[in-house]
Amino acid sequence: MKIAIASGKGGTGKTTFTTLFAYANRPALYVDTDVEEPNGHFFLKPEITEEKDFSELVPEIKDDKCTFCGICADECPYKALVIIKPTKKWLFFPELCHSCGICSYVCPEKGALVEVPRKKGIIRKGKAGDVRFLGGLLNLGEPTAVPLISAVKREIKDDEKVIIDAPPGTSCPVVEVLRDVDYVLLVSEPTPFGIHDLSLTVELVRDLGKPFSIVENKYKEGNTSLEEYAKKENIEIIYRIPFEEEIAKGYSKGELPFARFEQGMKELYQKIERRLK
Amino acid sequence: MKIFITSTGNSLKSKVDPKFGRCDYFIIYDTETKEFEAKENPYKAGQSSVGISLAQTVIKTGSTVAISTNFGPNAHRVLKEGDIKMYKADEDMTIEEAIKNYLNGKLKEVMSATSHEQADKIFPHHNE
Ligand code: SF4
Ligand code: SF4
Repeated sequence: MKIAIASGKGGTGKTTFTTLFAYANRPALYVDTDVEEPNGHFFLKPEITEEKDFSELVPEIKDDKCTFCGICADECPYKALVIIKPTKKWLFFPELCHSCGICSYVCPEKGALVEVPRKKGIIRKGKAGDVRFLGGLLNLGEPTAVPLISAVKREIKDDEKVIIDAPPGTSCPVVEVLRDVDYVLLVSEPTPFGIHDLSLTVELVRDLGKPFSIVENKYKEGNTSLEEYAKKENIEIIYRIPFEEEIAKGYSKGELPFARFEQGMKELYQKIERRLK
Repeated sequence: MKIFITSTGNSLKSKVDPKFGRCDYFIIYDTETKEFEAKENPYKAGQSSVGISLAQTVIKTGSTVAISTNFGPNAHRVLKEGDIKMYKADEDMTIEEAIKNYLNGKLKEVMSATSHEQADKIFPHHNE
């Protein structure tokens, strides 16, 4: 079963929850798909056992074969290639290239435009006790996280308990993660800002047709704002992490109260499992 | 010879537009016929690569000189490879003055691009 943990913006306690949840349900696979700003290792502290490059093909033009006709540059949807006819020069802007392959497809001269691999990030694997870790790290300045996220996803074996830390936001990277999970947990805080952010993610998850519920972080008795939103939208708040000084203090030191939430998070997993049967 | 100038309007009395890629208009002045042509910058509101696109326009129009106040790194790279000479005009100059100053050798050649950090300071909202 694959469960993704998502939230609108960062800083809602998503990574904290995901770590506690994976630990409580060990043996499990923790997948950090926030490849632009991975922080899943922060609390989990896995020992990295494997690291490999993630590369994609980018164009390289051979000056002796190219006629500088400019077709490749005209057809590049991202303006990553520039052909300067008068001076017979070509320029490539790697930070704009999406490795779509169109330039090599449209080039009419045989051998003028070849595709060469370019490293765009890395994929890491590791383990922290019975929690295995999988994640990616995208090089700075790359235009899109989606291909690396897909590559990370390909490393997931189907038969395990997979707990996925989704990237923040509501754009392509998070869609790439959520589109083939079984269940989504949306972590949110009971603040106006948090609820607004949550509502955007709720729309997205509904569009994707995924079953989901809310995890309320920093729950305080008497603050019913998130509860009211959930009631109005007919969404279940399936779990609550109370707001306590102690948790916050540990958090800032990279420590989590693992034992305290173990039982509750085990039950939460089982509840979702039963629901999906 | 043709001169390409980024402009805030469509006449020679308009002021120079300090942002190369996101200028409102550009003016192409022909030093032989003394005629000019003004066009709206089609890339002005584009999401990205506006500098690259406009730099290619400079080359396509057959201009050999580009005048603006700030050239971004990508635009600078394209123009340089295209053998286009870049000159800096102060932003309160009119197009007319910029042309005159260029022809009298009074404009400074731009040797390096305006970095993103500098651009953030000069145009705090240019990415919005
Ligand atoms: S691979 Fe696609 S994005 Fe990259 S240069 Fe070629 S056409 Fe442009
Ligand atoms: S399409 Fe091929 S031949 Fe034409 S400019 Fe591009 S690389 Fe050169």
